[in-house]
Amino acid sequence: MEINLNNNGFGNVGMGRDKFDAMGIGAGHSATDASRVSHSKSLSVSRLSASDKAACLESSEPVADVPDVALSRDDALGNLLKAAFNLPPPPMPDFGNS
Amino acid sequence: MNVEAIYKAVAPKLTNWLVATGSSYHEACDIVQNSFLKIWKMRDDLHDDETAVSGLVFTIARNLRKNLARDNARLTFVGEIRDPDDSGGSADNAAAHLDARQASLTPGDAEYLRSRLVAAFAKLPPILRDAYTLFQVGQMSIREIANQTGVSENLVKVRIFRAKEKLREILADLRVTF
Repeated sequence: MEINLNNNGFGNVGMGRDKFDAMGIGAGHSATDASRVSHSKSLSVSRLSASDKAACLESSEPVADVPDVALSRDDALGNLLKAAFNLPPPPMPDFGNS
Repeated sequence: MNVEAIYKAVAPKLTNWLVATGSSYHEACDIVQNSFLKIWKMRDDLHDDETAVSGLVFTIARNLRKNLARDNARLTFVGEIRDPDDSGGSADNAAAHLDARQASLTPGDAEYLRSRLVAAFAKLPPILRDAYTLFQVGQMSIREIANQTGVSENLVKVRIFRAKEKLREILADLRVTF
């Protein structure tokens, strides 16, 4: 879902209430109910802090579509990191004397 | 609980994660040792679960570093980034030495790469940096990172993916095909 969080005033987040309405109707709600819910969501979002808006924006994006291959630790970037961060750990502390 | 066995398994990952996220090597070593000394003192209260203890060690280390930064009243994240001309390494050399599977770098190139990567991580938003460095350098599973950061596993995956996308842009001059 694309959300534009350019807040230009109370209750107007610029995120398109029509999208919320469509989502609500698509989920089986009546047009009236969907409109009521989307209006309250718009108001809620408009009152969020900047960091909360950023979190809201992130969490509203699709999160289940990252293919496993994109998360490989063995790609070129991963190998670069393995080569660069291969430092030895410090000696184990003498636990008995701690 | 076998703290020694957990140390051998976790200390290398924790040391490198601390360096990757801004500590000097010496600071990382101090933090790793102090973290495990705390674990040793708590050992009777902990379950013999390497995954859970590993997460706890990372949390302790993170807090110790915050305390150190506060005590020293300095910014630790920048770390010890050296001028590439002084390190004896270069992007060309490092990329040329990098084999797709088995990287073998000269010490100068490895140091140069570390400094580039630490600087690149510093440019990432903290939530992306945390997710990716815990995953790749800390060798944590998606589930462990989700538990550490308090978000869903799917969101962790997205953050790792986005971190890699941004790193690809930042490190484009290394000409490594990500």
